[in-house]
Amino acid sequence: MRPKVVILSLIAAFCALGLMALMKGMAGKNAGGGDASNGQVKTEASAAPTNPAVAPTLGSTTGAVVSAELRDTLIATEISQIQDLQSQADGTNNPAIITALMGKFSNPEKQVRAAVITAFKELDDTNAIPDLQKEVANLQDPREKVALLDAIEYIKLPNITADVPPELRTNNPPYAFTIHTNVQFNPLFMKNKDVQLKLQGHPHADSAAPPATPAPAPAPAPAPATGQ
Amino acid sequence: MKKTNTSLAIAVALAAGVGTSVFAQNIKEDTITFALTAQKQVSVSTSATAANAGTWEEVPFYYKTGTAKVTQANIIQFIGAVLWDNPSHYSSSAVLVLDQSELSGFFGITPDLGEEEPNVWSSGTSELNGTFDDNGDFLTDLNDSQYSSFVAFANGRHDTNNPNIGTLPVGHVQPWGQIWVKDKAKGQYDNVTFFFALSVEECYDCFYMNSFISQATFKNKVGAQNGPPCCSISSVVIGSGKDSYYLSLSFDNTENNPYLYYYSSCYVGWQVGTATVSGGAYVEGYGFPTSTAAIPGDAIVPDALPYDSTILSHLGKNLPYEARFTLNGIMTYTWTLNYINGGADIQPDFVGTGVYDVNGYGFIALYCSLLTGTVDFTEKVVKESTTIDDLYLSANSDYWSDDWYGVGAEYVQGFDDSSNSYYWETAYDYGDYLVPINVGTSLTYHENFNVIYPANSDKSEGTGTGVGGLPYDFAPASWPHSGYVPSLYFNDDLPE
Repeated sequence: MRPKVVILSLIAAFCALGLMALMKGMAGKNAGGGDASNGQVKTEASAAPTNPAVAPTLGSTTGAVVSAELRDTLIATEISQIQDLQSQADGTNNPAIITALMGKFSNPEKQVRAAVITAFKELDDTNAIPDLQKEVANLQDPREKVALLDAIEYIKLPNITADVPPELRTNNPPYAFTIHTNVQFNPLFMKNKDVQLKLQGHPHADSAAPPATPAPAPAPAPAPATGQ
Repeated sequence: MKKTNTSLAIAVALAAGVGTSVFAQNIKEDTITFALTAQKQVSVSTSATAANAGTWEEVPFYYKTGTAKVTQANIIQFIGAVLWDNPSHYSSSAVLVLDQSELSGFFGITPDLGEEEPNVWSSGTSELNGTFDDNGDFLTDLNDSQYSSFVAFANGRHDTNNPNIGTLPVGHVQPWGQIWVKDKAKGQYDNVTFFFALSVEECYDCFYMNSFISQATFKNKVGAQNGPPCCSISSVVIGSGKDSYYLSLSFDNTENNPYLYYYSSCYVGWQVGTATVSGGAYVEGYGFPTSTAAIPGDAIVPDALPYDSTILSHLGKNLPYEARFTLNGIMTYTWTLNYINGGADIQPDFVGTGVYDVNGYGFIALYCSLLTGTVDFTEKVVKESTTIDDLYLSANSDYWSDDWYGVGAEYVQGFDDSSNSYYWETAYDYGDYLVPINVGTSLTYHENFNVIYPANSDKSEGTGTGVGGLPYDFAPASWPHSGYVPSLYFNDDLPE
């Protein structure tokens, strides 16, 4: 047989199997759902009284019911995925990470959505703001709305070092800053500290400076400063 | 340094097939993220419209504040500025990591680990250098440990063993670990613990939990055969819960930090290789700076700043990365205690997330800053090969934990009659504590209000002794608080 024919046959077979499985599932659901006619669906707990430790329905759209333990595991898994995404950020792949994180807002678990908000806050990328602002409308819980709005405001804030001029960003100290002509140095602080340390018997007073430490600067005359 | 001991310990571990990383494929890694908002003064002005206009003598009538954020990226810049003379030294993907982290109050250490000796500058001296020797206890992850750390349970005592079953009390050592800059992109890993100070408030003489509260449930897992064949145990405790405690976290990259202050006994300038640890340019004592050097005494000595009558003086414009701040708040650590390597672990380990809601104050880029926000400690189970433990080992052929910075240690000075000389040791070694508290390996200084806590002894009676003959408290830990920092800049006994 030609490859195309084989592929088409396989697809048809899988479709048939899927259809059969779906029909079987519906039949089973009707068979086991004695109260379904009343609009109520039996929980796993009621169907299996030997397993009393059944938690509330995992708030998913499928209506699936899981144990508290499984629910915790699912939440932890989701949060772990969010943290993984966040940790992958390197500045170049942020768009992909933002998209992936936004998708997590659809999770029905509040804890997961809270983790998403935290992740965005820590990712601190202003490119996410438009999408986040749209997401505010989708959230139902007022506390979550406030948390997301707070996160957006935080991302909008300027960074504490945003105003640092470029020449100071890679060298420390760079310095050639200008001192005003009216600067007055406090003579109290012009004493020779080493002498004082020796007077106190401090053991480091006589030590050589550490290798990585610049030698003490000689006391210069008051700086001939220019205007600002 | 006791590398011999370390090697010996490794050899013994290998021979015995226990502990260390021999069996552990995964370990937890704790990433620290800061999301702080800083309110700061942006203008003091004589003009209603122009910022920072006029002179001080004209009397400013107009004051304005502004807001900015502070993240872990900033803190990494602050560290790079001092440690490498370059705020941009680390790559943008560098992170802060709390390695070998333990955040639960139920984490306990053995007296053996508590008795680790602090290092001195060189043989024959008594000057501490801020680190301690590992003495073989080089991994404190619970899952690897069967001799240095353990899960503790409330024992009805604050400071002593339970008189009947001998168990140690809880809540005296958390949080635990060492803080690193992990820059995988650059292949650089720096232990930066000494930039931080952490202290936990202990709740007076509590016979329950001492420093924390917890909503937790433990259960015995009987029949488990965990650990390697030689050392497996048949019953262990697992569980889950939420611990909370009051934590203070400080950061300081100025010379006020005793670990960065050349004249301090804990100065680490020689320990960190190429680092030039100082707040900006090195200012020797009160030596006068040149016009191109850092401002003398700034953030250290009030009014050592040269006076400039112009409000917009540009003084300090060259120190945008100078930072000192303290955060206070409740740390809430939500955890599970379980195996992270299945049956290969000797013990289960705490893994969880610490959410630290804070407010605080600081001095960042010469601005007074009032801080609010959160600091998150996110623990994840990862391949050990990706963590500081292995990365540092690969890069340096040595375990980083040969040297820990015991920033939570409480040192006291003793006197040896036989040699007629002073020496340093921790208050625990000295016998002031009956169980390990504020030991040489501690990340966190635990503050209490008990007469036996030497931190509260009177320091006014001169070198060597405090009130009641208690040793003079050195305590470089927890520097913004009651721990005494022997900063000579503040010494009022200086001769005129």
